[in-house]
Amino acid sequence: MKVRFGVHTGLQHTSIDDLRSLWRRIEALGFDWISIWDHFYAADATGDPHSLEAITAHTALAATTERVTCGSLVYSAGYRHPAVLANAMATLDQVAHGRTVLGLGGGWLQDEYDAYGLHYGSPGERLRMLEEYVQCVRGLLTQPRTSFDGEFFHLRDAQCEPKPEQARLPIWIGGGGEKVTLRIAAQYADGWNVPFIPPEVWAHKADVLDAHCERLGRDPAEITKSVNVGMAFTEEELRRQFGRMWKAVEPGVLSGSVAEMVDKVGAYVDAGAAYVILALRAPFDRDALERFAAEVMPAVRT
Amino acid sequence: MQLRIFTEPQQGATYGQLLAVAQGAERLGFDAFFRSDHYQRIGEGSPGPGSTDAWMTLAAIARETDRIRLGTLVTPVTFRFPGPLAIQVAQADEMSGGRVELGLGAGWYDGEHAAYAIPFPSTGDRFAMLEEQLEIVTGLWKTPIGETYSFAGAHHSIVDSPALPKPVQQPGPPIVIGGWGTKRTPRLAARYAAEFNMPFAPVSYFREGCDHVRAACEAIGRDPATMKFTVATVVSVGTNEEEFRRRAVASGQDPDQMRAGAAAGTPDEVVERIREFEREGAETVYLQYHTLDDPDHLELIGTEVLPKIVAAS
Repeated sequence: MKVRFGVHTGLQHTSIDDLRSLWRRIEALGFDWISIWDHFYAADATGDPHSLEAITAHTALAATTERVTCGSLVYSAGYRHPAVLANAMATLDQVAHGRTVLGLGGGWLQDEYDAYGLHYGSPGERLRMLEEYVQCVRGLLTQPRTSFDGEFFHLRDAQCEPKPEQARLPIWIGGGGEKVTLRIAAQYADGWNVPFIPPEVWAHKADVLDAHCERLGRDPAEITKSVNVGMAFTEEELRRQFGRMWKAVEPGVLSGSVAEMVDKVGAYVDAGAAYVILALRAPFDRDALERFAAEVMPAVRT
Repeated sequence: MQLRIFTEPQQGATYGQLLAVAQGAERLGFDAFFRSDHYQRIGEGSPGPGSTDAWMTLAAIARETDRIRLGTLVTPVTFRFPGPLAIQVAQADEMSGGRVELGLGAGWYDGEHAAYAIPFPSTGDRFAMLEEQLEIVTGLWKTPIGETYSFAGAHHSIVDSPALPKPVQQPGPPIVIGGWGTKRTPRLAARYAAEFNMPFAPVSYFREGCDHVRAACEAIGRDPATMKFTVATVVSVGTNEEEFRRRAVASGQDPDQMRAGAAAGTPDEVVERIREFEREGAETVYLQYHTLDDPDHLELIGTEVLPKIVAAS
């Protein structure tokens, strides 16, 4: 079965030193992808403020690894002006030597918007912002000059130099909203990611994404599809990782025996997932990761 | 810069309504009358009198017009076998004196296939069929008279075809390929198309969408300047705000959203939007025109928008 494995390393309650040693180990274990998230607070909706900053951690990831794709899942369109992020990604791609993937999303963790006085719009407004954001970033990363006159963002003959090492730095859209988010992905994205949904729901959303592509005259195979899943060999471990969100994420968790995990990975892959990404957070259960790499990954690949 | 009128008859239209719009478009000086190629209404709402067949419509209109170009955006590969498709378009080309253009795509609308007993293969198969049909249709048209054409593909095979009738235009009617693809359709466009169309792209994204095709042209040694780059956008024009909004709603659109990105508003606003596309490299704008029973709307676009665009180019 052909699939790439990745690890999404949450940035709460950890340190750059802890992460760098973990990232090196993940790369050595044969994973193809490592990503970071974009939050200022812990992503468990408790108001806990402990999280490392995303661009800085993303850069450290690129500097620490040599082979893996260095992704973000996902930068929120509400946290930075798109030209600021585009410039950061262009430089980051030099650090990563062409291994950067830029994930973008509409944002959801309202606590941190409210605390910092960032505007947290209605769902429709955040998606309109995302749609403008992806166009601005794509233009800045690929065009000599970009002008844009939107509801939220304005670029006037804007330049972003030097360009990334990748001629087309892949942009992934995160989220599962079927009407708008997946349509935006079909129009602008190179990849798509959604977290914590079971294989049958993921398969349905992948079909919806394909339908948007077809309607737009785009071969759906051009979009790299991926899923973020939890991974825990015991329920206790799952509760420890996700706190009060453990029940919400459980349908999208690889759990139980190695055989059960292999089956669930297979269900995503059969539905078209090119990447299965383990979404982990501190304290990182390194033993479980070692076991996954030693027992589950080889079994899936045979 | 040229303007073309582009209709969506599957939303409910008779041949007579389409003929009136096509003749109006010709009289007013538009470059072309195009239509979609669907058999069933898309989305909610009354199906009205239903759809009509695209190539029958265009062939008939060809006999009722003299100058205007005629074509589809776009014909799905599932509707017609490639041989009959090449024959129908070649015949319409003769009937029009060399005025037809063929837009071709993979098709996407499963519902209309189910509704009219048309097989709907998997996405992968349909994109593979698109590639084969482009090869076959253009191959049949350009085969020299007296020679035969054969093709062996995974989906279609042709043995010793006389490759007749021949179209009037040589080596064949222009092929239009469109869409938001970044790899596959750009590669097909570079190889087969005279024109690449970005359907409903915002101004800000038009150039980038076409860049994939420019790159695909360069990759096979084709000068990108030989490709015509075009865009489709919805149109609603009014001499005042009330009229514009009424026509936008009658077109099934949200007026404010439309004004932000489409050819919408007063004639001056629409002229400016078209010029924005022109500045981004668009050579033709297809105006998706929904108000088939509102001849004053077409007249307004033809008299207050079209002359300013054509005169400036």
